[in-house]
Amino acid sequence: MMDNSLLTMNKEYIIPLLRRIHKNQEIIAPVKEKEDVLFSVIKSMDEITLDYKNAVLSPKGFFFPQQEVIFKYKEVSGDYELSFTITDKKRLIFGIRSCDLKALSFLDAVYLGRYKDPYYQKKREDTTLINLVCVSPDTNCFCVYANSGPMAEEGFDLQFVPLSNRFTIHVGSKKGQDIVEKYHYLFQEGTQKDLDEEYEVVHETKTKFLRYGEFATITQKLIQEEVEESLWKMLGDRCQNCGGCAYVCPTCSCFNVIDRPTTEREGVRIRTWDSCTLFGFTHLAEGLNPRKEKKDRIKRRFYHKLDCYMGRWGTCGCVGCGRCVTACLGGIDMSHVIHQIRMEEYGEYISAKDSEDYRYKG
Amino acid sequence: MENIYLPKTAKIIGIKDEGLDLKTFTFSFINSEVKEAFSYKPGQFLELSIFGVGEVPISLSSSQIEKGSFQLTIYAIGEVTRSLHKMKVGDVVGIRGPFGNGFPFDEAKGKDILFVGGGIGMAPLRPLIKDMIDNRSDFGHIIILHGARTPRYIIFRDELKEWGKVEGVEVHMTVNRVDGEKWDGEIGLITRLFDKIEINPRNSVAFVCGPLFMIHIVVEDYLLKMGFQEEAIISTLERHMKCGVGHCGHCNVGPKYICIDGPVFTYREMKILPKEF
Ligand SMILES: Cc1cc2nc3c(=O)[nH]c(=O)nc-3n(C[C@H](O)[C@H](O)[C@H](O)COP(=O)(O)OP(=O)(O)OC[C@H]3O[C@@H](n4cnc5c(N)ncnc54)[C@H](O)[C@@H]3O)c2cc1C
Ligand code: SF4
Ligand code: SF4
Ligand code: SF4
Repeated sequence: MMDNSLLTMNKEYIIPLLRRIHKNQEIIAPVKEKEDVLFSVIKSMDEITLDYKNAVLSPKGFFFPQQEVIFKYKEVSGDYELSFTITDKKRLIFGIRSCDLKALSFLDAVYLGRYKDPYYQKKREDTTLINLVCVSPDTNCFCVYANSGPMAEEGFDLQFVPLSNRFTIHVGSKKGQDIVEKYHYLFQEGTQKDLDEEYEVVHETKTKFLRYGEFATITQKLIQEEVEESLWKMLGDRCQNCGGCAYVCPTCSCFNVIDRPTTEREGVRIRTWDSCTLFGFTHLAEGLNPRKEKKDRIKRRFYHKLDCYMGRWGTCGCVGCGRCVTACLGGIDMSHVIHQIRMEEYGEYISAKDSEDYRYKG
Repeated sequence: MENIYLPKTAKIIGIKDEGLDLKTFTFSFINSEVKEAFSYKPGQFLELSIFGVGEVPISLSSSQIEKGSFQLTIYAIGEVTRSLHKMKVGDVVGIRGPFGNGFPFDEAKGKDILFVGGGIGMAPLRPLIKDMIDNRSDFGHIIILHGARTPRYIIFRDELKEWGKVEGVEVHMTVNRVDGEKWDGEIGLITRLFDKIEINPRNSVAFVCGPLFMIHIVVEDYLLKMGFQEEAIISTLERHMKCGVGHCGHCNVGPKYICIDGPVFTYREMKILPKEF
């Protein structure tokens, strides 16, 4: 953290702040479209809504688009000319939630590991992130269990916590500090009173989570292979092979690569989101497939999110955003599966919605 | 910023038939700087692009022959590999890499070496065998076992013969069945060749490449029972792969990515991965 001191801002100043930033930078913010809220590139300030739980889709697509051109190829006199574009545009995402913010650090671990993904890297470097802490979580959220929210520990440039009539603001980076310095007249020094109120607000928020998601013991069970095969079979039977869980998941980073010729001599190579619940994901030539059965693929999904992440990066790979809970047709999302494993009674499927056991108890 | 997704173009400068649907292609990079900078070690792989068709991971099957050229031995089995088989000398492909860890070499010095190569599994072993034979005095006795489906699938036929003539190198071959071809050698699975060899497992390293079921049988029913240490059994794993650099997620098994943590693993490392085959 650049600066440990606390700042505050009158709630009414948020739009003036964004309007000033917008003069020379693209802004991506939550926008209401009919009943849904989605992150969009805004044209004017009145499109922005502050009245939302979380956006239907995470801002993942602004860094890792659902479909992206890797390069164009063109045959030219016995050789190929390859060209690619890396977007060069400074932008700011306002209103990202803490869970989605943490999810970006997981994408970083994958795309900015030993080999750097140049398309992702540039977008990431060019983006300023301001997260808005939730005070009223959605019914499907369970970030408290995933240590990703409601407040973020790191990863933000600025973090805004809404109190009664003002925000408390934490500065997380040089980029954030620059904004504060440039528009210093909109910010105020915070006091112990602000910090106390922030603590109260965040604490109260934590009691509002309805969904269960205790990760540590579940992950241990997976690592120790204590989960019975019959559970994976049951989950596999319910999986519809739609891939939706991976598409909506802010931490899912898998992709497929496809060549699309436009003529005989030229075309594009693109990548598209992929999902490990789909049959083709591990298909090998000659008809071999190590994960032929749905039960193997669903098992894989949870092993990747929990066991692999723990083994490789020492963290669980779910941030508790709850989107798979909304998306999954089979009712076998992260929260349900954790609950199910904990129940240890694999014979009977317990509906998560019926269970009282979900309320966060601190 | 270097774009790791951008292939470098290379020309096919030679094609050799190795058997049914099996060819060794020799490539040379078109750009001279790329040629100059290219180096790799046995056990690593490249991503081979046929523009408009796709990209596939293929092991380097040559040891460094001359600057900027290299060989890939490829089985025509699906879209990309079949289109490659239709190409001629002079045609252009895209190459990224080399990727992956490669085989241990210095660690095997002073030891006896056992190679077990089933079918196309000989491809990644070939450069290692060549390098070891070129540095013959650094290694003990070398045994090479090769198993093929039928006699016409025997790969690197001439070289196997040559290697067998080198002092202290033995070569044994077998085929699963004979399909009308002339063959007076062994018939049966590769494991029957174990009756013919003598090796001290305490001071040896075994390199085993081939179909996964073969690896399992060779390792579990033979090498371990003979007394090979788990760290002295070295193999390569194959998975559907789309990027080669740990991003696309397809080759991730347990906590490992075959592309960046492998494709070469000791049996000790392989053993703890989820049993998915
Ligand atoms: C590290 C490594 C080294 C390899 N070395 C060799 C070699 O030296 N010689 C050789 O002939 N083959 C090798 N293979 C296998 C080779 O990659 C596949 O045969 C090839 O990908 C099949 O592609 P296709 O388009 O012809 O087949 P299709 O069935 O049309 O495949 C479509 C796509 O699926 C994926 N795919 C299918 N099968 C495989 C597979 N077995 N491994 C990885 N991805 C796959 C590829 O992305 C491919 O583009 C190797 C594989 C790996 C992972
Ligand atoms: S697994 Fe589900 S709850 Fe967890 S981060 Fe992904 S979409 Fe959100
Ligand atoms: S392996 Fe599956 S769960 Fe893991 S990131 Fe890829 S699609 Fe998501
Ligand atoms: S969203 Fe549910 S039904 Fe669809 S692939 Fe994922 S687990 Fe299966």
